[in-house]
Parts: sequence; structure tokens; C-alpha cells
Amino acid sequence: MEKNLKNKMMNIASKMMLSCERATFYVDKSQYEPLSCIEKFSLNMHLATCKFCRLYKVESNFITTQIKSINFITTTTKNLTQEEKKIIKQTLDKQINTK
Amino acid sequence: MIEAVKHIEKPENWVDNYSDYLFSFAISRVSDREMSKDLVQETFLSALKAYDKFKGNSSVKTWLVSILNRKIIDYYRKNSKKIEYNTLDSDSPFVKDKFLHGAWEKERQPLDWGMGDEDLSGNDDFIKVLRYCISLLPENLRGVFLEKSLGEESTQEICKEFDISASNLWVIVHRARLRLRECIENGWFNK
Repeated sequence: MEKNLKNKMMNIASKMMLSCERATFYVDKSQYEPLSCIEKFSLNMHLATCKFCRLYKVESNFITTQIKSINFITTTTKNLTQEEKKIIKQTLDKQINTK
Repeated sequence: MIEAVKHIEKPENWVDNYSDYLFSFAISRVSDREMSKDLVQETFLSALKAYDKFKGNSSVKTWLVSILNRKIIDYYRKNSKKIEYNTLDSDSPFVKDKFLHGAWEKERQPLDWGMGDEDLSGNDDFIKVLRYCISLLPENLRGVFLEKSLGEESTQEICKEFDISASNLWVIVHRARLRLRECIENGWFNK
């Protein structure tokens, strides 16, 4: 019981320092560049007691590792058709000839 | 040397050599087939006009991509002229009341994706959900978010291109990622 109360107090204290909204903001920012010491410290304090933001961090990290793979999509359905290429070519040729 | 390269890379051959690459680049950024097609065509036309000035410092491919990227940024700028930061907040998953302000809304707390049990990386279906969720992002978030996540430019350069401050950029990226995470969770894990 006493431990439970202590946990609750810790929880409240840490959340007072950094809201989940702010913590996830830092999680996202850290995907792109290093955080400052204070940012890192307060984020870690928050993560130590907040299960949901810990999950958020794992998932945000995962999204970062996966996002690059959408950079160049080269499946056949996503390519231009021969017909579409022909039209672009004709438009371009027209411009070349009027030059 | 440059003349020789220019000869091989004649504009007549651009469509054959580069249209697939440019198109896949465009579609990964704008998530719209027709728009991507138009952007690729416009890129070729602009490139043709500027071809005399092309010095061959970079490959034709790199040069064409840079023109295309500029067009993509223009497209997003046009479509999100007034980025109203207050309205970006409307879909926030966090409590707005004074009490517990900024804590997760109860129904919107992240679920455990159970990534220990199943290796999701490289999973085609996951990538499909990811792409779909990106296409659902509002344009005023999507442009900046993709430029930051996929592009090579620095934060400073992106801010200049989109005419926003650095703190605006981080808010936009954050809002985009919040939406993305939630969309993936709904689309993938609660099938």
C-alpha cells in the first residue's frame, strides 16, 4: 500500500515536470537531432514513470526505421504507363522543336 | 568532357532514362498519381528551359530531382498557404482541460504493438499501411514532414523553403507523427 502510494506520488511529480504532450514532442524531435541535456533529462524522468510515452517512443523509433523505405516506390502499379510516357515525350519534343 | 556527357543525356532521352525514377520520387512525396505525373512533366519542361544553364556539376539525374523537389515544395506551399497552428491542434490526443493537461486521452493512449513477438521491419503490409496513413495526413503537415523525414536538407533550409520558423517545423513534424502513429495502430493492429 505504501509502495503504491509512493509510486503514485512519483508519477504525479514527474508528470508535473513534463506532460505527455511535451514528452512525445521531444521523442519525435530526437528522431532527427540530438536533444539538449535538459530536454534529455526531463524526457528520461518522464519516461521512467510513464508507460504510454515509453510505448510511444518504441513506436516512433520504429516508424523512423521504416519511413525511408517509402522514399522510392518502384512497384509496377506505381510506374508510368507506356502511354503516359509517350504523351510526356510528345510534349517535350514539341518544346525541343520550337526551341 | 561536359559536352560528351551532355550528348549522351540529350533531352530526347530524358523520358526513357529518368521518368520512372522521378515519378516514384514524386509519388512518395505527394501520394497522388495524377499530380505526380503532372509534376514530372513540368520538371522536364522546366529542365529543358534551363538546360543551357546546366553546367554539368552534378549528374542530370540529380539535377532533375532537384527541380522536381522544388516543384513539390511549391505544390505544398500553395496548398497550405495559411498554416494555422491552432487548428493543427484540433486532433490532439492529449487532454486539453486544466486538470491533467497534456496527458494522453484515455481512449487514445498508445497500445503495445508487441514488436518483440513479430518482426515487422520490411513487412510489405506494414509499409502499405504506413504509405496509406501518410497519404491521409493533411497537406499542411505532410509536405514539411516528408521533406524533413525523406529529404537531405537541413532544418534551416526546410524552414526557408516553407517560410516557417524552426519551432513551427518541430510542431508540424510532431503533429504529423502523432497522427501517423495512431493511424498505423488503427489500421494495422486493430484489423
